Amino acid sequence: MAEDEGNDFRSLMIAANGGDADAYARLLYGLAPVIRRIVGVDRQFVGADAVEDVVQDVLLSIHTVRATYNPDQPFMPWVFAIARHRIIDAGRRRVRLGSREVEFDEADVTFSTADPNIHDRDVFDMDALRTAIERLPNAQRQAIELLKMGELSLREASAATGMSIGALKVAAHRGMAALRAKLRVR
Amino acid sequence: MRTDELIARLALDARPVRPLPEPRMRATLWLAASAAYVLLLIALMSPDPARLAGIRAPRFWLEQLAAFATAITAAVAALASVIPGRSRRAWLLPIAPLLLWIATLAWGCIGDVTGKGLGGMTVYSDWPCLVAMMTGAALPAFIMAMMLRRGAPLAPRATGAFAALAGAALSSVGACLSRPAPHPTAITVVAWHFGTLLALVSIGAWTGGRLLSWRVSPSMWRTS
Repeated sequence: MAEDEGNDFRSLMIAANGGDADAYARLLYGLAPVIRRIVGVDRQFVGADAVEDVVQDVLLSIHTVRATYNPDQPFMPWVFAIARHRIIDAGRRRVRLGSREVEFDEADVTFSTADPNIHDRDVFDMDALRTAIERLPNAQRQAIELLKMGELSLREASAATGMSIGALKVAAHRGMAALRAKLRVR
Repeated sequence: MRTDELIARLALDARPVRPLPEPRMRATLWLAASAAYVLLLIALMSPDPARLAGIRAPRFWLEQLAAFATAITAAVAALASVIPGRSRRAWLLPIAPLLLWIATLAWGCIGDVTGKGLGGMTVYSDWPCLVAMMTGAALPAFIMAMMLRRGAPLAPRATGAFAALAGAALSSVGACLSRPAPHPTAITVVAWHFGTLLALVSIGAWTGGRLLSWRVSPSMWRTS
């Protein structure tokens, strides 16, 4: 069974190296699960979340060095050799990066205390906020609308309003302070 | 990028490719170009080509033969090392001629000591040979590097070392044949030729680890 599969792959590879794109696509689609199984055996080494990346690395490597395949030779040992080396490369890369990085759980809040995490509190009365913004002086309102709500860059907001970047910074700062005071947000 | 998308992109790039010839065939091509270059250097640098015909010492010619064989076998090893799935037995090929080369030099050292006493172990300055070896190895190393880049960088340091060994051994033959007079002592060859050869092999291993890498087109890789 495996030998038949290897022979099929070999025929497809020979056709692919002749420029047959369909044969090449069939070959790669057929090889992907085989490579995934090979890489999966070493998932502890390469990292369980990196298996698919390594599979793609192997496919790209096969593509890059496909001229090294000799049609007179068996095909699967050629694939296994590439996969083995790419797995080793990925494992080394993981060890190297792991020695420089500190992993931590993704935090679902910004701070450990409850007070700063205001999303669950009822302080965001959107109508009150909208009214408060509308009552800001014109320059502060524009700065808040463009920089905070519109998420424009300072340069873009400056171009839109004709205000200097410095003036925009000051207006945005003062506007935020005024909103905090009006909404009594710390 | 999902694997399916990657495969679709790769399939779009399915241009016809010509399979690389066998490593022995590629080594022959490398040797033909490199030997022509080294012969040209010998012709340019040697003041008296007729001197070579006068060298009767079998040890000298055995030494050159061993160095030449080292160059060929190291070239085969380098070119075989970039073919996935090839047996690593080709890596062992340079061992025998390299040992023969070392043995001929040891034979020369012993002969010098028995004939000249401790004076036979004097290491003479030999900068011309170093320059000749560096010059002689430059083009063969460049040609080899170009040939290796078409292969797979499975063991880039070993590949670089074999490539440098091939170029250095061939250029050592060129340096010996282009000298106006034989080396005064065999230990001088050991120090200067083998010293240069080891330095070049070290540089080759270091360079191979950096130059030979999986060349992947950025347009196909994780662009989305």
